[in-house]
Amino acid sequence: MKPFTYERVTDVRAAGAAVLRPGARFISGGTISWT
Amino acid sequence: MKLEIEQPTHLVDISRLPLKQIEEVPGGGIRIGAQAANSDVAGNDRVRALYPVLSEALLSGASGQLRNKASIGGNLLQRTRCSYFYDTAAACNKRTPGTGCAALQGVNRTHAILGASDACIASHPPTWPSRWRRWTPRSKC
Repeated sequence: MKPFTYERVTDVRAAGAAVLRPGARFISGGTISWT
Repeated sequence: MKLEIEQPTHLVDISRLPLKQIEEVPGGGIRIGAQAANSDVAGNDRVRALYPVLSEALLSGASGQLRNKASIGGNLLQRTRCSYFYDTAAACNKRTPGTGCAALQGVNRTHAILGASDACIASHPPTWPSRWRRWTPRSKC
């Protein structure tokens, strides 16, 4: 298992600050379309 | 993450950011928030009236459940990749630089023609560009 931490942000400024943490990535929605 | 292709140590969930607006802007055009759902944009009265091709393109992608969860920002900002990117047994320069590109000799009917290289022929996967490219008015179907 690869441990990771999670946080939910509710404003843009907090999001920008949170992703500066080493190893951090945003998560959100998206769809794929290859066909 | 399930395939351990990406291994972030911290996830920042931005799905609750207040960026769901769909609004006309002075001088023409429309502003769509990055967190607006694909289904909300497709069904928006202004979008349907002013940009019917966009509405059609969004409705042609994925399933209703996925369109309800997919955000416009997340959709457009997906990483360029192809199915070989997910296949850890296949060569993929994008996943592991220097390993090669299995798509070059693989199943590549939907891969890039413009902007491709010997290193990668993946195309950008989001709904809008790929569906707009193939969109045909219903009256001609």
